[in-house]
Amino acid sequence: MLIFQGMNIALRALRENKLRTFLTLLGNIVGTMSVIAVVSLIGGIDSYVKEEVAGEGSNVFDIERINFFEAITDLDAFLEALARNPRIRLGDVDYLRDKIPSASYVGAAARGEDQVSFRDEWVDRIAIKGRSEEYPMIDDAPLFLGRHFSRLEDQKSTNVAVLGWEVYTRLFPGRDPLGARIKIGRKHFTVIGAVEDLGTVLGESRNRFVYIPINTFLKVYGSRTSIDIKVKAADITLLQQAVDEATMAMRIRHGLRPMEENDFAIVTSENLISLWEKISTSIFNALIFVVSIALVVGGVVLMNVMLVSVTERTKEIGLRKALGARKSNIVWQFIVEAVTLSLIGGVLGILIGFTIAAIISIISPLPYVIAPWSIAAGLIVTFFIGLVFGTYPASKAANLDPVVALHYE
Amino acid sequence: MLIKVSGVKKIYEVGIQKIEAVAGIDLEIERNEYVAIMGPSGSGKSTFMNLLGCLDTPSAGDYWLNGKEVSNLSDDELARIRNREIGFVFQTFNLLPRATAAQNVELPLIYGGIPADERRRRAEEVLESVGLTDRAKHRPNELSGGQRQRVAIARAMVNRPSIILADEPTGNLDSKTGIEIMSLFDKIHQAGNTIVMVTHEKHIAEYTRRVIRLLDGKIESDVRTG
Ligand SMILES: Nc1ncnc2c1ncn2[C@@H]1O[C@H](COP(=O)(O)OP(=O)(O)OP(=O)(O)O)[C@@H](O)[C@H]1O
Ligand SMILES: [Mg+2]
Repeated sequence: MLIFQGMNIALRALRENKLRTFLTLLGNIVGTMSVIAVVSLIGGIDSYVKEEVAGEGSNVFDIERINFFEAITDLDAFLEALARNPRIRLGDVDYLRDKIPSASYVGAAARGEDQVSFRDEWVDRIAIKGRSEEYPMIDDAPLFLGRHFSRLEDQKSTNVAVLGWEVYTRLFPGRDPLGARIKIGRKHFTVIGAVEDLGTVLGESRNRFVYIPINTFLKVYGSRTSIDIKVKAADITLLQQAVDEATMAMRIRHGLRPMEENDFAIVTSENLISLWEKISTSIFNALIFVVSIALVVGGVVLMNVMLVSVTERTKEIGLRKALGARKSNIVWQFIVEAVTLSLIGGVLGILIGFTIAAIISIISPLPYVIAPWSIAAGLIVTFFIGLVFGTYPASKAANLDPVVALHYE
Repeated sequence: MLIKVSGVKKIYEVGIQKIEAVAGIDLEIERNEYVAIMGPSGSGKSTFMNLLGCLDTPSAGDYWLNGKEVSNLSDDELARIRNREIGFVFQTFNLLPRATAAQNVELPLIYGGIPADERRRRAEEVLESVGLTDRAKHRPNELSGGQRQRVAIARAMVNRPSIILADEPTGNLDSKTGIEIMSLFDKIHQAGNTIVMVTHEKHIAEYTRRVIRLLDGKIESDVRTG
């Protein structure tokens, strides 16, 4: 019941002086808020990275001229690769096809962005994906209607297109698109198929694309662009073997000597995940640093406010002692008060943190998840902040001489 | 014998100076006595009351309360004695400003570990005995000075202490209210309680049955009047 009493006193102090309490608890609020917001967002991105990147195309990897992620992880290596690595050409894809026994499919891929239009309707900033004819086996592209293009159409650089769901529904609402003559940029294409609705990921539509044959792509967008090679391992267990075979084949193709570094990049979803893990770990480390400072500052402020409160209530403490309060009673009273205040800061921080995470995920494509452990961590940490930083003021109160305290003015 | 004090001293050291606030007092008080302590300012009245009330321990001498030696107990043991054996009434009332009259009265019972329903019952009971049943839910700032002191007296009695100690209980009240409070003390005394009261005023001391005069920390006179 002394616990409730202490909580009551703390809550009353909170109500009576909201601004002062808020400032007192700012450290705790900022601390827990950052934990909750960052953990929610990182958790959201984490589950995206793990499910989408790893789940879907886990046995597909890319051979690219440059790994752009290297710009983040190793800028020097990235710049060197930028200067040195030769571009990858269609001939490389054909060369690789029978050099990777562990792969079930090897295909060419290139990507641009353009406007797609039909009569008076158009959609901007659509991903134009150039592909060799194996792409339905490599990409996630189930047909909604029509067909994919054939090898012959690719070889002849035919102007045919398979539409993504959004392009299809925007240009042909309720109409049959097959055989229609659309324009990609300024070039005319015949629609031969449309892909199912693939939903959204990270708040971004996965339906804003058009597939065209790779040779057509190179003809339209310039044959000097470097392309990517997509390799699908026959089985997830063969992924590493396929990577090794592809690396070996590319090195031979480029005539590299044993000591020379690869002049191409292999990007697997595992790469992406480990890159993400690197980034999220450094965010976490920075977070722990910021949060510790906020909480220590918060604790010290809390301690000072409690010390002021002890001084203001010296006479009350003297009275309580005169009426029979033992040291432990007084210690309890002030510790409960400090812990309650601290926890209020924690709860406010948690609420604000989730609000921030929710707002960020509304205005940006970042998803967020509520991690129960982060709530528990926030509450436990603020509980201990109150306990640790409330102990000194509480023991100061408990050790007051009753006679002196009673006559304090 | 309720109280037996022998050779009790309280010495304050201020710098190199030693002040004998209580300079050797021998005193016995029986159950159901009604004692006034008088004396000029600085004569040691409050200091002696603090010793009687176990708020402070003597520098020398012995103090038996209810047959128990209490002059060198630990802080927590003293707290226990104050809670069980002693009821304090102060000149400035010393009520918790944010608590209601009833909550103020319950405070000693909380520290005595009395369960909530019994606390409520006993608080009601003593508030009734000081004539404040209808003010139980009021806060101190909604009460007059006399009513506040009644609440304080109810609080002093709620634990049924062996002795009630009052340091100038009428000092902050006008004379009419002071007389009301004194007739309340009278009633409490007649109900069998032991009261020791510090006062400056003769007409207040006349309510009591024994007047002890202090001078320079010593008993100057000890006169029974009733
Ligand atoms: N904490 C202390 N430190 C030093 N000296 C003290 C202390 N408390 C009291 N004294 C001194 O002890 C003496 C007795 O003080 P006390 O308060 O007991 O007097 P009193 O009789 O109650 O006076 P009054 O009638 O003014 O209340 C005084 O000289 C006072 O200055
Ligand atoms: Mg005095």
